[in-house]
Amino acid sequence: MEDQIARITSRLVVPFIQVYGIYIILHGHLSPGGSFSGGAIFGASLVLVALSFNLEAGSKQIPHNTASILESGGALGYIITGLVAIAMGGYYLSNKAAGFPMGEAGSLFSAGAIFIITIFVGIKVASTIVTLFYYIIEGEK
Amino acid sequence: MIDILNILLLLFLIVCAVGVAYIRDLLSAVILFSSFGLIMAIIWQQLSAPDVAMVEAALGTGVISLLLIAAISKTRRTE
Amino acid sequence: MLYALAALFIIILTFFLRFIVGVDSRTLVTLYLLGFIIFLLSFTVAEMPTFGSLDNPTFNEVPRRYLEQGVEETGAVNIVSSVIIDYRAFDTLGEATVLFVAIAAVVATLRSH
Repeated sequence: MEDQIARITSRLVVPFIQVYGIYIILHGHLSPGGSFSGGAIFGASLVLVALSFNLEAGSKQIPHNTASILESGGALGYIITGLVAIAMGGYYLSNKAAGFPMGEAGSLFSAGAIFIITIFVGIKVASTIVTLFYYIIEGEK
Repeated sequence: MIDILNILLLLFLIVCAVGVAYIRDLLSAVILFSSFGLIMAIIWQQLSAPDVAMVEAALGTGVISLLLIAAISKTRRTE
Repeated sequence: MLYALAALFIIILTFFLRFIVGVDSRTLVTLYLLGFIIFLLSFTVAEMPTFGSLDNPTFNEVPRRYLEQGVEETGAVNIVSSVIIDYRAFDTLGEATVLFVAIAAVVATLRSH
């Protein structure tokens, strides 16, 4: 799997893919896209590193334990955001009724809980894809 | 004009779907399936659903074919 | 009258395919089942409301409420995002749980070997 063209091309392209994925996650409440598509793009870029270089280079980008912790942490962050809404006096997973800072509609830091939950779900989807790929590719030894 | 494009996309979608079922080489079937996902993403965009188009392009074209190729590299290439 | 003609056509087609072309009966039954399913599906699609029309039964007060007050109530300009993460947040929590269970099953299966 050591191909010169694939290595140099992916070395050029991967930073742009990662910036694009982060952009889609962060602008989930403003433009089309959101947590699932942005997380999928970011995870696919990490898998591309492992495919064009080798598995060790991919593992150096994001180690297995970190991916597993991020994967569980994304789901936990979602649930905890819902519980914080209860603590602030709203219903479970409520946004404006709980009093999250809404900001001005259309700016980047707005929409309260939607912004936070989008980031958590994006992290979770990206690490899910990376973990799934690594476990399938180096599964039974 | 845009109707002709939509009809061509739908025809190509059907061709890809039938080809995935008929082809014997599994790697070619995965490539056909990812092209199916790409056509499907363009069709979602034509149906004015850019969110679904983005998810389809990222998951249906990229990640699914990656996982299937990983599974093929663990098993046999032909049926 | 029309139904009788259709039945006659189907009977003649069956005899033609079975005894003149020589299709065996299993293939014939499969072909008829497939034709019936195609008929049902195209009938359903023909009866569906027009795409994007304002008279659709799905365009009731719920999407109207989302479109008119979604930005004010959730603060998100993207209506899809405000629906899936604010109005229907439980649904997205279920999706995240499905992903979590899937990855847990894969890890539990492949790590034990």
